[in-house]
Amino acid sequence: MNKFKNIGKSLPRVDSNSKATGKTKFISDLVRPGMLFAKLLLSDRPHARIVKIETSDAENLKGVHAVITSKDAPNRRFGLYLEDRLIFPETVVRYVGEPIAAVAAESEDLAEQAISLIKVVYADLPPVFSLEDSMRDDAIDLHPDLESYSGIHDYIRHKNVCMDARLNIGDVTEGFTNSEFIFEGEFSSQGMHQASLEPHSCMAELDINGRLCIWTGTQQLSVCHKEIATALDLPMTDVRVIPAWMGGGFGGKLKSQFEPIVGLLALRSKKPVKLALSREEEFLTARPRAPFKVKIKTGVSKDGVLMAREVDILADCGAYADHVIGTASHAITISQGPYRIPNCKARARVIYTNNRDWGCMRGYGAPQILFAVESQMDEIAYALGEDPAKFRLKNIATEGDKLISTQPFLALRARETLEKVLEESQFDQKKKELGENQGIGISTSLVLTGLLSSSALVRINEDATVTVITSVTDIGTGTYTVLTQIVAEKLGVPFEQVAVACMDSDTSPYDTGSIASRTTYDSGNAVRLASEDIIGRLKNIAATTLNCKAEEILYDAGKAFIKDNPARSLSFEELVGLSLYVHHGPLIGQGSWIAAKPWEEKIGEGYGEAPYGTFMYGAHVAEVEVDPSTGKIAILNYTACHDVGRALNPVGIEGQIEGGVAQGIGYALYEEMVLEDGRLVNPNFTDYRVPTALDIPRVAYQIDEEPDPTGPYGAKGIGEPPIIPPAAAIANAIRDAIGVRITSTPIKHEDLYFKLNFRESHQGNNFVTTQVKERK
Amino acid sequence: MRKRFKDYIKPDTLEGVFSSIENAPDESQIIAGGTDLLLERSAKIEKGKKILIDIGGIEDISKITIKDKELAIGAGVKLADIECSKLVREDFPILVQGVKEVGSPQIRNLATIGGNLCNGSPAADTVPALLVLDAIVEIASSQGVRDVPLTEFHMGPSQTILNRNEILTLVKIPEMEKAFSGNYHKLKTREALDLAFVGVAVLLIDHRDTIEARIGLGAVSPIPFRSVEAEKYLNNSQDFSDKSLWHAAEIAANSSSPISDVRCSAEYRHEMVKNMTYQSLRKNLDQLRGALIDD
Amino acid sequence: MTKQIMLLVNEIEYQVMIDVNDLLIDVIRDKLGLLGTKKGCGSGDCGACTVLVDGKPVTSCLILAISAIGKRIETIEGMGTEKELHPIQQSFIDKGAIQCGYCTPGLLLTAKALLDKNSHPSENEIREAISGNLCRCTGYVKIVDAIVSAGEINAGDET
Repeated sequence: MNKFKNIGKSLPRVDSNSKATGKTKFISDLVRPGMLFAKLLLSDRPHARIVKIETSDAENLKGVHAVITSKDAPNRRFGLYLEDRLIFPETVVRYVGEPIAAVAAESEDLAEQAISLIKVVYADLPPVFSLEDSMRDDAIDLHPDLESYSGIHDYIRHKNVCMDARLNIGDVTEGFTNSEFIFEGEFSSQGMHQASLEPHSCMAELDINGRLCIWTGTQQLSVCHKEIATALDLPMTDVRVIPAWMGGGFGGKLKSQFEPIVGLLALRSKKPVKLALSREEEFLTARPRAPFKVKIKTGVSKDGVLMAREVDILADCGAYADHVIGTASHAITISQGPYRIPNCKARARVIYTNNRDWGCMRGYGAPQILFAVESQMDEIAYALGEDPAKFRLKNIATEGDKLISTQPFLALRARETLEKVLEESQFDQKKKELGENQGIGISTSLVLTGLLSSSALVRINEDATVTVITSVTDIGTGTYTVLTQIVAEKLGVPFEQVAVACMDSDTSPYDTGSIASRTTYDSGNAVRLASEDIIGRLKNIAATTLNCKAEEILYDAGKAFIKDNPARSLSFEELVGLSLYVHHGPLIGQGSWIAAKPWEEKIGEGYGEAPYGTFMYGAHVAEVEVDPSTGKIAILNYTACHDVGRALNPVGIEGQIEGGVAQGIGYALYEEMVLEDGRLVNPNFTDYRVPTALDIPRVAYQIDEEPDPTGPYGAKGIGEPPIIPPAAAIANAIRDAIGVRITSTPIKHEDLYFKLNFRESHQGNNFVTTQVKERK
Repeated sequence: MRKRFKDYIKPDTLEGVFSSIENAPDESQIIAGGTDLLLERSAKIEKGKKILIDIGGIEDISKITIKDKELAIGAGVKLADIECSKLVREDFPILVQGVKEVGSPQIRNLATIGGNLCNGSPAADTVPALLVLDAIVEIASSQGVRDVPLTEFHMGPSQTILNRNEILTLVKIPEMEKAFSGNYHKLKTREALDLAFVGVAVLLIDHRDTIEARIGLGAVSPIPFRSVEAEKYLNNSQDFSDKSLWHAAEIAANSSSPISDVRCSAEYRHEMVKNMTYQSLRKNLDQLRGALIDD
Repeated sequence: MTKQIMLLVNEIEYQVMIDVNDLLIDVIRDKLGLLGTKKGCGSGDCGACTVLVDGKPVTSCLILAISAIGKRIETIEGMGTEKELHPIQQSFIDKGAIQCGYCTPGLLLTAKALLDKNSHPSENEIREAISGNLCRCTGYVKIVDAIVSAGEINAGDET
């Protein structure tokens, strides 16, 4: 029985009405009188020295108000993990699509014309496209000043490698020595674009104080604010950032991207300036998920117990490190999957190339590593003659087991979610019943959340409505609704009485942002703390008014009352009235939350990740049918189970699962950024295939709720977990169906066709090796 | 560039179209649905074309009629209207199958059959079906009209035989008086919006004593085409055994000249022509025979 | 070439100055100030810009404004207001079919056109009808559920 009024209820989203009527203002909808239009000049070379940029013709075009290049920007490096970039490159361009200049003009047409009038003389430099080439001793240095870059951590760096991190637990050598079988595999995954329906957009203007004010669609208001200020070499108080609604983020709109450029244009022209990327520019210059290569070696005892694992990840960050450092770090941290493996070694290298400016996307390294881990788990099961479900359950993490980073598996639900999905999908029965060319496959999910910090204010207004002030943006996942539910529940007021304030860097307190599935857990905890702060103050007012000690007061369901004499009570409205003019003063509650205590000792080598607050578990089962005449894959049924701690808003959870699975299927079967010599061959929705309504099946799911005591009302998160399993679940189902193992994503029907029908000549590709070395 | 065109004319009659073209032959650009011409990245429009002539207002070419044992579809008829037309659905279902594969419902509410043909994409979904239906296109100019078999209309990717002063006005399909079975099969990755990797149209016609096979292929050569060698083999041999159907399918595959591109490899396309042609021949043969038995 | 034309949008006659090259989506958004219609790709591949023209869903990024003269155009603004939602809008809200909301206006109009023609579409008919509208957030399931539910309400079935 749900004892809560707001928690656990599928309350309609606070933003739904406005979105349904088209009233919501998205960032690309903002207009100002006299607004100028910005356009970027993108490099068309993968690697070149900029000999000369001639802008005078552009500057002289009537209607053009500003033309900027690197000489107009502060010479201040910035970047999240590593400060390796400038607003515009000064001397060297590093990828096709890198912005090297920008204009602001009175119309989009004029802006385009102005761009075409800028003359650039390049001197081509040898480009580097392969990871192996980039790491060679004689490779060209893509960042000659790499050693001098500041970073949030003292990363180990060498030739074109901006992060070389290692983790170790137990004794891997002994683990392999004691293994009966050793399995080695190589897996790779593609560059995947977030493909948010709204391309990047931002608008800069001078506010009523004449200060630079940038409106943007950002997932991280605070981080974006700091980075813009750093890039522009201004104190944070001289820059104001205001988020507008955005049409999708998925990790593509983190920190800052084009805001410093648009800010400079506004400062130059003294007019509002708006940038709205076209879809092609969005593909060329925004930062998609980085491609990874994963080598995975696993040792198993003769009883099928996992003994040791060694993982080596090569991540292509392209021109700049950006979030790839974080994704590679997260990936090695979870490189065991949700399994007990006491002896592990993992290494991740993040490597510069001229392939793109890679960034990150939902899952943050987990899709790439777990595709490898879960694909190999099936291969091991096959080799040992074990059922893939039972093999997993035999090795599933239990209380006390640890990640390679030494954190114990927190809030463990790995076994339960796997068992539930097996039951819901009728795995055992289906495995026997499925026919020719049909198969069933499993994959688990493991994502770490509880990241960094959040803060919030709760302000009680004179009419007893409640305003929640935070800087965590709602990117469409329902964050504001969930935060409203938490505060309404805590304070015991109706849902409709609480509202999340519009955000503004001037007034919204720090939050790490809408990333890493953390908004329910971290931001939710911050608003919980702020609400509890309010309750503490309300209790004080009640004690004073009712003439007793504060310890004698309880607060529940919107009332403060004396424990031993509940009839003596004061309502929330009464307390608010008293606070303003009689006792205590205006009610403002604050909550400041940090997800985890720092490490007590040094972890790993060159490893910069902090501990996480909690872990999220899950498992999926996919049933597929392969058409042998074409290699095409049909998904017959799909089942998911996710551990959410507590479903604060069940319909919201369902939507995240269904949407995450859809993106995971896109990752598994449809989406790939195809590069040829550093040039993107498919910068459009025709050949970059986002799944349509005819491509995504219904998902049967079970939601596992075991309250996490560290989460607000026991809640964890759900944003990323569902995107992770589809790739391996489908690959494993294909393996079950037709005996073909694909080790790279996306899985192409052409590959399946040839591997199935021409086994001898199409046996392997560069990435396939699965060997079993039997030891006596 | 955004401000490409300097003028826009929407005549009511074909004569109006011809005189507009005559006024500025080098600068005139016909526009129908606009779904190809207006693409942001459309490089299709030649540099000098500055005057848009919209044929969407001409009633004569916006109808579907039956006349003289021919289905006549005006070039300006929207693909969605062909999809919904009772006439077409009943008598030429293979054309509906081809039409339904184009783009999306929204695109089909704008795009026209004339535009799809004149755009000249090697992967156009309407063309293989029209080819096996022996479609003829009517081309008009101020000098009069001429009929051209669709097999001769396309010359290369984005190239048709239209002269500068001509427009395509009708697509004519001879009525099918005999029993037949046919289908258009498009190989793609997503179930909507994708351009064809391979398109195969097969039509089998029952001439009582013989069965006539027609095979139309798209996306596997510079223009969609009829695989005449494969047809000849089947029509002459009248051998519709499984082995023979595979042989015909191989001939069809060998008659194509696919390329490798971002979608898939030439080798895969070759294999798919073979497999899809066989499957369509098999399926339609079974259907035809089933229908005959029922008779 | 610029021209003064009349566009009939949501049953209101707008007099607007356009250039021959202006796309309908840009005129709707920039000149008429109706910002509910969204721009996703400019190539008809995503459906975010869907409006109804004479009751049929079309991608407004692929129509010249000048060719829309004399046609009945409907945008999301004409579909309902926050105080008086169209049943399909209410259904989308109730079923949780709206996440980031960017695809929502286009989808609602496509759904309206479908239900106006066929009040009890099957799931497959719905998925076909919305196959030209990409949604990156929802995975489409709740959108389909919302359209089914709205159809039932429209037809007077019990909810």
